[in-house]
Amino acid sequence: MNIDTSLLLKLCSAFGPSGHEGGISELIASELRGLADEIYTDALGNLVARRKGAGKRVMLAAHMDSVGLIVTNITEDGFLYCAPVGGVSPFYALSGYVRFESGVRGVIMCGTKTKRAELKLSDMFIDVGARDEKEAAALVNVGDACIIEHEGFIQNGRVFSNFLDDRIGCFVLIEAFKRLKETENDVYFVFTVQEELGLRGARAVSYAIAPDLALSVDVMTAPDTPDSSGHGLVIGGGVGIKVKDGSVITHREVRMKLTDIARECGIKHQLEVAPSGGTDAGAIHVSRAGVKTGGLSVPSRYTHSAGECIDLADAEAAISLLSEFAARQ
Amino acid sequence: MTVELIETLCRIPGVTGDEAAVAAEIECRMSTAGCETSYDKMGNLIVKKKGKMRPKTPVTLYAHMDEVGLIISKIDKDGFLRFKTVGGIDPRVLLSKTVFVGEKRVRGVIGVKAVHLQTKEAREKAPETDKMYIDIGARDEEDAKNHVRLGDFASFDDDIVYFGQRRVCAKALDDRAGCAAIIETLSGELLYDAKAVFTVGEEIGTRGARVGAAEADGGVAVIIETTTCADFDGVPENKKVTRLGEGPAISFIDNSTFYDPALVRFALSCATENDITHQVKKSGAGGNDAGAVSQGFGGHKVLSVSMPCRYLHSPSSVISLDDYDNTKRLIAALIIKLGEQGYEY
Amino acid sequence: MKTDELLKILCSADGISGFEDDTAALASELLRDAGADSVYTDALGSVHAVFEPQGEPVRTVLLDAHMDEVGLMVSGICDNGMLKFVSIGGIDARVLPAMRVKIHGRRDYFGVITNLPPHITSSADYKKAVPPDEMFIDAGLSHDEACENIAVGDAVSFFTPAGMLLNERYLSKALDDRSGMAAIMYASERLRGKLGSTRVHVLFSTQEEFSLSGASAGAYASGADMCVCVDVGHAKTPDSKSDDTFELAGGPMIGVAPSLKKSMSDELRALAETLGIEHQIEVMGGSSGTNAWSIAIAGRGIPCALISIPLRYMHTGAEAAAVSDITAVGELLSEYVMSKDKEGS
Repeated sequence: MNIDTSLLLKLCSAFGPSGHEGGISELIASELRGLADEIYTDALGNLVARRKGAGKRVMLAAHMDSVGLIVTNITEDGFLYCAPVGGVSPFYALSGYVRFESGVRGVIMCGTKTKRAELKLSDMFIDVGARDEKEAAALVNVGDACIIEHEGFIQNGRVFSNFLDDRIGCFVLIEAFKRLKETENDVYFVFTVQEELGLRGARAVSYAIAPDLALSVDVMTAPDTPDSSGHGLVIGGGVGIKVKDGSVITHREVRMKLTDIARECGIKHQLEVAPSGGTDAGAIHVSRAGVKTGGLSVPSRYTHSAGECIDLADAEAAISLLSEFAARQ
Repeated sequence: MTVELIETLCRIPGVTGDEAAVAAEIECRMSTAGCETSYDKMGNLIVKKKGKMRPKTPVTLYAHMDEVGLIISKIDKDGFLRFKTVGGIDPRVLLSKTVFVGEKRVRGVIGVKAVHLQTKEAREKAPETDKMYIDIGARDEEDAKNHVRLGDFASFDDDIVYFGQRRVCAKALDDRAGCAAIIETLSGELLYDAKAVFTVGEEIGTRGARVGAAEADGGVAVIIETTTCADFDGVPENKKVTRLGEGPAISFIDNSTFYDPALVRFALSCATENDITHQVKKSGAGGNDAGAVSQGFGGHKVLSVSMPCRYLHSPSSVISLDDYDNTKRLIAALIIKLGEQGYEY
Repeated sequence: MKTDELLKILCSADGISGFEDDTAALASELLRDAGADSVYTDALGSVHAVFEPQGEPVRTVLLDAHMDEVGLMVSGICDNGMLKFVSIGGIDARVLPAMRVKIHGRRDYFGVITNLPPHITSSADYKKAVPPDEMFIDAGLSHDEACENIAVGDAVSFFTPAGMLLNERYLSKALDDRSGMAAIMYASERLRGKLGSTRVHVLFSTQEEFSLSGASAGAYASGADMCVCVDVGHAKTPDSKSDDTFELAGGPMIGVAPSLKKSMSDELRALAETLGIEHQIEVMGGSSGTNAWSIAIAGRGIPCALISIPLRYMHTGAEAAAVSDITAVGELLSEYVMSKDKEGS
């Protein structure tokens, strides 16, 4: 295994809640500039890096955005109320450290009267240390977005970090691009925006690219922890080849191609049938007259928390499978 | 012009799925004003107006023509009409309200048993729409069928009232007020070309805009809407969303759209530069055509400019004509600023 | 071909959402036999058939029915060889205990869904539905055998008897929406050689029960000017509310909803009246819950009508429909296309 873990942690710590993907997009673009024949950003902010070819148009997608919070109100006392950007659990959010794009820091808390069992995000507020509304307004505007972050770490071959959803997917795409062999295929590595708000970036960019074949790379929750269902993906059990989730039933042809490659190259994999959850594939496959679309998943735990967890071996398997898939006819 | 225009537009029945009469009125006014008009297959009305110059960044304005209302689903043997709601309606606003049913505009009332006959417990429970009925005064089923067909739409009473500090109370202000603001803008002389799409099907899931998004190609789409305004006592500060009379609200996020922050700043500074009273929508709640337009046909840059509207989706919604005027001014200013400077991304 | 023969052939195939290949193969053969000028399968597996008119085509009418059926999917293999499953499409889990199923693994395997015998359950348990995650599919295989022949992601379909009840009422799984396909086949055969300027584009779409995606993509590709969807609707049963259900053998249910094209619904109603086809009006407040919802906004928009076949016990392993209703839908459909053809260019 030869994984550039420093790049992975850098991607995970970049600021990029849905709608604010500029920074993370720039970071990814800087990695790919030497490799791609063409790099551009569309109206919504999707980043597209292309390896031109005369053959089939193959689109590989991972989303850049993370969940976050957005300020909706500043109180007279200088506290900030906020709305979720994507699916933010109040339990995961409580007592988190937040950071705004400007660098302003804060903590997210609830009042002493709030019943913990009935915790709602709308009852929680951010304290940036302001004494009153004026001081708060000097630091933060209504409409500013922030992320909840903790420092990630790697231990025992497993990565613990915020935003592995879906910076690990971005990482897999970048590394697969680096390993991409000579191919006839016209390959689009697409880093999408606003997935957490409902696959919005993918909907727009897949219309524009009109691929023949597509694959999205994302995390999928593995129910392999205590007091979980136990049936489904297992972290460390190999890259997940998606059959279905809440947004898509993948195309059989793509699925077969992926399992065939995995068997042939000895890549550890597992099949995924997830009762719920969605990925960009859900939006891509229904674009225009339909796109043969599949999905690869890096199994992960504690999705949308500040301590998401994946196994590096699964990421390596995903990179090998993706780079091979992208080059095949 | 404003008062007559808003009044005419709001009075037309145009529940989602039945927007043709609204479209015809707008089309007539726009072609009289020298605009080119056409329809797409969904029934969205597309209007183009030539200006003196070609804009650096073209603007496409969107407003939806449809309103929430009811649809008749059953005529019972006693001649009462049963209905389903079209669009999001809190059933609690319906009891004892009058409506107009079908093309013949048959007047009816959503009946409710007299308070004397209700138990205390029953009064504490909110009514459900499938228990409600419209009384058009029919003798029996056959009599009712002479006046009403299954599938007829019913719209709220069309009485319109001007009151208080330049305020208007009417049904369907969502989004005829937006339509009116666009009509007025495009009726005047324009410095730059502009385009408008009057959409159908917004209230049942921004469906017209899904198709109408195709018209926004290569520019910025500005959705002219009404939005929640709960600026009265008893509502917590973080749920008021907007304040009536404090100008059009510019959205940075809602359930349908994440607006490009730089474009939002562009719009805010446009308002400031032109001394237009405005506000920021202080909530992520609600959604509108912006979502469908921003994601459709390869994706587009969008803005939402909304008039605060109290009692949205009820028979008696309220806007301020000051907000309306400022919305018009902001639309005009945005067309000029985008035309002159352009917006790069 | 007669309606009951069509039903027998079409219902013999298995095919949950995403696994429609067998149904597609049967449908393609039937369409070729019916004289289609071209038959092909698209990227999402939907079957398209184009019937060219005798003259220059001036319009394309899309006729849609979905091929997929509800069912289950293997989600895990237990140590004892039993299979975990998830449902594909909306299924009332209370119908599952003791149901027979077919698991489409390396080959087709029989299975039965587990349930506990009365000997070890108490009468108090009878009042509680069994939670789906406490049920398994018992395929009678050991862990190793199961792993060798069955994989996570394999499709599982209901394995239940089909046949005729009294009064020409057909019983089978998957009448939703094979009965719609049968009606379209019936109409296509009837239209053969009769059209001057109208191209008929038949779409047998995939994944309706999961996401409506097959219809959305298929309709986009068709470039049609209008569409009639044929699906099933709820027929009355003793335990259902009469407001939401329709008469079995009461004729086609013509849909009226804000998401459907009003003029097309009106034309169908008028045509049924003129022809004396007994019919019923199904009014919906928003979405029709069918492919018509996604087709209407496919591409640049395709105006949609919906005709539904009354069906009892939808989404169980034993659905029932009246053959006469299916034939009547086929007749109405073909007459409608002919009436469009008579409009000339």
